Amino acid sequence: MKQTYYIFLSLLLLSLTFSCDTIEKDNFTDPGASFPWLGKKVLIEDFTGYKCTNCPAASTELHTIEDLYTDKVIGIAVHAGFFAQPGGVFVTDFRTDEGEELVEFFEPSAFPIGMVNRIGYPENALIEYTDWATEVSNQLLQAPTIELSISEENNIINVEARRLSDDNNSLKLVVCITEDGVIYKQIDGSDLIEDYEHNHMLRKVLNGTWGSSIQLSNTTSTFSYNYTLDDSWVRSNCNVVAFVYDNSNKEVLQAEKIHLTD
Amino acid sequence: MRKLTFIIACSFIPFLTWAQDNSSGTVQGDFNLSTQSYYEDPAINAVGVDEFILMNAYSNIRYTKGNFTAGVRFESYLNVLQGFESNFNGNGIPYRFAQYNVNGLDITVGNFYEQFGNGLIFRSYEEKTLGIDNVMDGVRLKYSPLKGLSLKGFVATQRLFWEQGPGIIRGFDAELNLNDAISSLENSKTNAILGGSFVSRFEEDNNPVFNLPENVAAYAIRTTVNRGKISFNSEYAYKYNDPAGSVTYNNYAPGNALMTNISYSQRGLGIVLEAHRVDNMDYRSKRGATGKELTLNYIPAISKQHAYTLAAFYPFATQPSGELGFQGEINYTFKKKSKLGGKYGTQVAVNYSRINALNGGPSELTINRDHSPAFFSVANEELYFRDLNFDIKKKISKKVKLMLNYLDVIYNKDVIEGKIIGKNVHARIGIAEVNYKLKPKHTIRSEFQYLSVDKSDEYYKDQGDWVMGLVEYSFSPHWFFAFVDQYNGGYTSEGKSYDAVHYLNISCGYTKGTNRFELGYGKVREGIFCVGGVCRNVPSSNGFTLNITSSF
Repeated sequence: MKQTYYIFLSLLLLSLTFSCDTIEKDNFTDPGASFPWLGKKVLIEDFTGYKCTNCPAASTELHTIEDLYTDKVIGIAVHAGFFAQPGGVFVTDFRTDEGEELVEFFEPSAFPIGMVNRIGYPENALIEYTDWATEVSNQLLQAPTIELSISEENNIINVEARRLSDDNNSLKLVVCITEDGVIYKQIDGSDLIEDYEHNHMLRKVLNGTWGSSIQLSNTTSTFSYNYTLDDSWVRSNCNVVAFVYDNSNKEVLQAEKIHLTD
Repeated sequence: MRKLTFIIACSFIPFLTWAQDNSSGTVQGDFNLSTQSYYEDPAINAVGVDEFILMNAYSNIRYTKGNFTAGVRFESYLNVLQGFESNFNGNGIPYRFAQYNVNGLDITVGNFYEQFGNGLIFRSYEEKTLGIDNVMDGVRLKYSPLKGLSLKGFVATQRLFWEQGPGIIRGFDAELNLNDAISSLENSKTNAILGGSFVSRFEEDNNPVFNLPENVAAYAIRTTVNRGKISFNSEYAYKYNDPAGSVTYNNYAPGNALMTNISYSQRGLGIVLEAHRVDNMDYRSKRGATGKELTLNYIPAISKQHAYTLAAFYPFATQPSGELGFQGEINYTFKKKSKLGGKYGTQVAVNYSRINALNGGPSELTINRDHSPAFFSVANEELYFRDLNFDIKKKISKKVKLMLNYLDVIYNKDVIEGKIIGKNVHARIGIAEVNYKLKPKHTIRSEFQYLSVDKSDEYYKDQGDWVMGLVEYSFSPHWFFAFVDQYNGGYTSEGKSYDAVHYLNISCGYTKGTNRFELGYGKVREGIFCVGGVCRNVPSSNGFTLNITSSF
């Protein structure tokens, strides 16, 4: 009896020593952390919509992560699903067939939500935006298994790729167009922003939602795609994004982006 | 089912072999199955599903012998019903535990549900109808070292669908019943209980930009005092800095909550007054978690939970991020043979609740802003919800019972459902229910309900008016048949017109012993469904439903 009493007494004391960390205002942020980067770029796919109240927060987060890891993080904003459906004051339709197909496949239920290199498929591919940065930093530390580069000339996109490892997993290549600086309405919290700047907007996947199957070796292979831009898109705001993923677990292994010029 | 029971029963064999003698204990169990078929029905925005039929099912099995209890729950979602998270899809045993009590020390290993005080800093519970199960998995001890003093402590992680959340949760609670502990107070007319609790979550900080607290703690103190017909209950909770963990915006403001209620009751009269103020009290076992996932605490609802369909059309969902609310209720019974009481007496109830935003929003402490809302501010704050309702129950004769209900509700759809309408909904709802006993064991119950929205420009018309009628015939103890029609006269929303539509439902049920079968067919309207101020969206659907419950 006495013994159990002591157990509880020590438990009580233990509970008092549970640390509770309080961070002072001067100490909220860390000085810039640096880490060794081996060349793997990371793709963030952000499921969004202009009628989604918290989506601007996710979009800002994506932007900050891009700034934090300059040229190492590539974002695609997939306007799809319920919150991207035109209605009322929202007239322009930013949905794409490919985006809708992604929503149907990955089934995001609450927006905003996103995927970082589609890690965690099938159960845990969708992650909240507050967790993107952590997953991005994990992914950036990994050694790349694919090398990828993009060039563009006369409306032809050339993607060069090769393997950096001995894996023989089945690979797929996706090439798409995204547009930055699209000014249109967006709900932000309880406000309607008339001239919100939509960035990373997925406009078109050139080779279908799931891309083309490719065979890669240790020497470079080139894949070419013709494209035309829609009249409503501003060429100088458009980007070509390409990424290679492992078809068995959908994991994105490498991603690249170039900005189109006039 | 037998096979399933057999498999689950087999999982007890390891526990059974622990038993020190051969006398058998008792095994208890329950089973619950909900299936629904889904047809496409564009008139009500209902979609079909590829599987055609979806199912949620579970069974609890519990073995007790003396001071020892062990149990498991098998859950099956093949695939999960619409309106619940698809992450539930699959089969498994997410709940298993063993518990024994030796010389007053109660030990639980495995899964457990627990609540400290009113739940302001910790409540682990399940509510299948909401798709909530935040059960803990770890070790819990309970002990009473002195008369009147009870202690609880645990270290555990929390369920997230078929996995566990990343946080490690430590909790401790002490409750002292002064009348039991102090002999001179044993016969006092006043009973007093004091309690205190402490909870801390550990989660690693991997944020590349911000310094995040890895141990986020919360504490609460509470008291309950009863004297004669009066009872008083109050709890105050404080949560230390708990930023969500983003790389762009983190709110380091602490949170707090204060709730108080006082009640008076005597034969034929009951009065309850309640108030609560909640600021930044969304506490979870993973920083930044949203939706219904990984909630560690629970803020009790401060509005009346209505049961009638149209009365529950605009329910309030508690806003743990910040709200100030009040509620008052008076119940009175007019005595038998009095003027208003008639032959059998009349029960009346009046209830009023009002909830508004905190002044300037919840507390915020970021690099750029430092804001603490005023403790008390009502007049000019954004109204979240208001409900004034009356309730009369009267037995008219040996065969007839009458229930009347009237509600006047203001509902802030933007805050409660995350819309951007800019106007509240103002609805008035009238309900009449009549029970008529045809002969012993045969009863007809009918309901008539009408919901009318305020059409003035000040308010949002939402889906306009609704009418509902219900007729239910029950032949106890085995059968019931019900027919329900909810009618909406059509409305326009976001430039799209919706035609008038009847949501017809027919159902029948059969009960024998502890087995209950219920079969239904009909349309379900889109809406929100709440239990205790926690809500989930229900999508519209059209199809058959089959529900079976059983226990042994």
